[in-house]
Amino acid sequence: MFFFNLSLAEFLALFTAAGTVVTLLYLLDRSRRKITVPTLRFWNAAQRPVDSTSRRRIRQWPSLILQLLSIAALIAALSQLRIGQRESASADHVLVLDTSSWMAARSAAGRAPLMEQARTMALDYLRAVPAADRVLLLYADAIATPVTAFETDRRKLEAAIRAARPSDAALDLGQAFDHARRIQARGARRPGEIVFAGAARTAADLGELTVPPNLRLLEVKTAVENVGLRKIGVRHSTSEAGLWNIYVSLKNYGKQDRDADLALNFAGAPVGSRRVRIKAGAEIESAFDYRTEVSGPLTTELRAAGDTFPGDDAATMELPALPQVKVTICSPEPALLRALAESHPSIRPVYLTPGQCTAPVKEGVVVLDRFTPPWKPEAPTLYIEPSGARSPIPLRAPGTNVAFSGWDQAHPVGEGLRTQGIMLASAQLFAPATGDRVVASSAAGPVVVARDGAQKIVVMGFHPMRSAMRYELSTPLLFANILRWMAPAGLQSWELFAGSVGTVSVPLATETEGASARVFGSDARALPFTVQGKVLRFFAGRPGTVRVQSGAREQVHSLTLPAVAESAWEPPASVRRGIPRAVAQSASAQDIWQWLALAGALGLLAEWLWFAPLRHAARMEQPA
Amino acid sequence: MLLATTAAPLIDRQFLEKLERLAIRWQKSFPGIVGGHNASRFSGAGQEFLDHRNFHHGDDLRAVNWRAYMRLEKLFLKMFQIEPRVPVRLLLDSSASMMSSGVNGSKFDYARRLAAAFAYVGLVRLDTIVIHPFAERLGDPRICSGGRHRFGPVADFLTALTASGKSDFFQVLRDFVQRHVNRGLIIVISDFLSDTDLDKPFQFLAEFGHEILLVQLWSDEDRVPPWDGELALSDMETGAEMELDFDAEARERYTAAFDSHCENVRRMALRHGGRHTGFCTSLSIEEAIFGPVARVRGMQ
Repeated sequence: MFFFNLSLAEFLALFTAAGTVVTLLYLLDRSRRKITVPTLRFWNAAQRPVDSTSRRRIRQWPSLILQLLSIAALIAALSQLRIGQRESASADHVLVLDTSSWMAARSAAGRAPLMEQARTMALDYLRAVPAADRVLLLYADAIATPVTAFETDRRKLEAAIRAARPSDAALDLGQAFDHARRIQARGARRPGEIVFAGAARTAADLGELTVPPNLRLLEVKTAVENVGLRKIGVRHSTSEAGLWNIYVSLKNYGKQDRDADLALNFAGAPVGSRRVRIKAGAEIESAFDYRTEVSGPLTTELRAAGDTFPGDDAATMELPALPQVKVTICSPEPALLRALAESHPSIRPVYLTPGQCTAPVKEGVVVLDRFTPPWKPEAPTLYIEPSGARSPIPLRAPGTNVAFSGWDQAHPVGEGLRTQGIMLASAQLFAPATGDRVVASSAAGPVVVARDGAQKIVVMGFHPMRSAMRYELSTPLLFANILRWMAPAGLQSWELFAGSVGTVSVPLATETEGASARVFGSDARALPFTVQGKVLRFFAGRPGTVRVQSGAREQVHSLTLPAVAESAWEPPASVRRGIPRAVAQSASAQDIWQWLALAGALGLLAEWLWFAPLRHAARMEQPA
Repeated sequence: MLLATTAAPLIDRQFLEKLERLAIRWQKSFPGIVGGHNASRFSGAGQEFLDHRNFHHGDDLRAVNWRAYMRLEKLFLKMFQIEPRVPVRLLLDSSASMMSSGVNGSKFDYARRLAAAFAYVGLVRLDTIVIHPFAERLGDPRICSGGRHRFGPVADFLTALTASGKSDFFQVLRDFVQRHVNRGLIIVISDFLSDTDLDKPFQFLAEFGHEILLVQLWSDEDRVPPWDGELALSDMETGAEMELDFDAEARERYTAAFDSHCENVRRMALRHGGRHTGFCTSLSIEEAIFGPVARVRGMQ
């Protein structure tokens, strides 16, 4: 029996003080009863000498003893008197429970998942430690998360252990150990063990891992054979409209070579399948093409005999519908522009003669080749060699043998364009207004000007297919830049990826793309990201869809695959393993403060019920 | 100052009906007019024949027994009993010591009800009752006569009385004797717990020819105090204080002293030719009147 909150000396001091107060109050209260009588003549006969030294004698011993015992019981309750032995190491332990994605695997087909084994071992550990020891539970995957505080309430801990479920993230064991050490150093009264229960498989090789000296390992043994999807990439073809190129990366994590069936479904309908053989530990890629212009779910499924980790055997991505941009070309020589117009599968060209362009076109992009209509355009328009006073940007005197100077690469129309040593035999020069941007200039003046606004306009002072520019690589790129600037949705580059949660790295085409890059989660909220050089990185802790917009590209990352642990941690031989020997629960201290408090309260109540009426009657004996 | 009031009627109607068959009795014969059914040994103008005596010069010739003269040729006079009409006087102790309480209320309330019973019995028998409250002095009397229909005012008088002050029998009885020359029956209802001597005052009373009937009252705690432990006592009348440790032994001594005092009062009454009865106020009035009071022929 021992006190938990107070030492014996503190208890005695508190009880002595309280008892002294109670006794003094008792003696004060037990003063002579005052009684008024008809006569004193007979009392004289009954009188004995009053011993003044014993005037303050205690008469009602039961009352005082009951009060003192009740006070003692209450103080003992406050000091948490416990029955049993005080364990020499009433310690605080941290129980790290592996909740990484790998714990969803089964050690053998048909057996319980590794998570259940880990839970069982954690519960066994909980029962083995002394009842007075406190335990803090951490869920460990990519980030170690405390689930409880340091608790002696075993029911709460058991409930938290039973509630543990495998996540989609891989285990970061180093971070888990660090977190457990910090928590124990900060919050533990008397540090005990750091106990890890799980498979201890991590996504990457840990290298040098700082193992806590007080580590105990509850190892969940696994001999998991797993073949799973690693990554899926889908990109729409730039040469054919409606064609999607699909790349699937598979890995065999097991120790045996495996045959696997890979199947693709689009909107529930099979669109491709392949049987592959993967060597043990190897990773392979498999490519598919699929043609569709409509949107829908693309599901990739993998089936392999003996696979005990089904979490990475399927992934679904949403293919978007590919829009097309209508380009109305009003040209006396449409053949000149045909190659440019049909260079991109997203462009749907419509060829008209100037005589047929009698009304303004309202959709898509309009190309007016050496033709300036009297009507005002109602769609983004590219003017090639506009003439006369109807040129949307005023003309200056035409130039001949004009040396081409270069492109404004800061403007989207001129982005990525390089041209050197080109002489334009003839070119119209423009006098741009305020707000107009000179996209290309020559020695004589601006030759390509862009105007932003409600209706975007680009004017070219030379014909790209009738001048020396027709052989330049920049010409189709210029045309693509113009169309992309005028109708960005139609010519946007789409890439879709299926991967696993965690840190995702996205390569950028140029370093400038990072400045305009944006990252959105599945709830359309912006996600934080970093750009280092030409690599954009973001972190996704939960499965979901993340969109990355950079330049004219949009990447959709469907992060639904679990992060599969590839590397198994080999603990040092000095690490304690297994469940410790259980401390006999009967020897552990039993808390009895509730009973002591109840006894104290009942004792005071009984004293009041028994003796208060007597005190009241004595006071009431004086006549009115 | 102690106050005593009772809101309820002193005697209920049922008890009054029972009292109607009683009469106040006394042992002595008093010269004078005495009411009721008590016979007298003295001759006087009456209806009942008492005796003959020789005729003397100056006697009334109408009282001569002529039949005896014809037979004996001597003159004899007839003598008749006189019916005495001396009032009954009731002294009611209204000192502070009468305020100690018992099962049936305070002793003073009990004494009042007892006095009311005596008064009613007297009224029914056409006796004249004079009620004197007393404490240090004799209080103003209340004369009760004229029949039972005069009981209401008597009850009101008794109800209005209050108990306070010390009891001084010597002074009270001296006042009484000075005020009332005619001898009669004196009923004293008291607890007789005065600190002063009782023998001399009542001896004084008896020497003046009065017949005394002492009705001594006490409450349960007057005789057997129920308290234990360290007590601080205060006298109701004098205010004197005393501290003592009281236990069972002391209680026995106290009760013995009390019983001894009661015995002294009784002997004192007998010594002076009177009667004494004493009882606890836990006894009901009815039981008291038909019990101890009847046994000493106070009422029958």
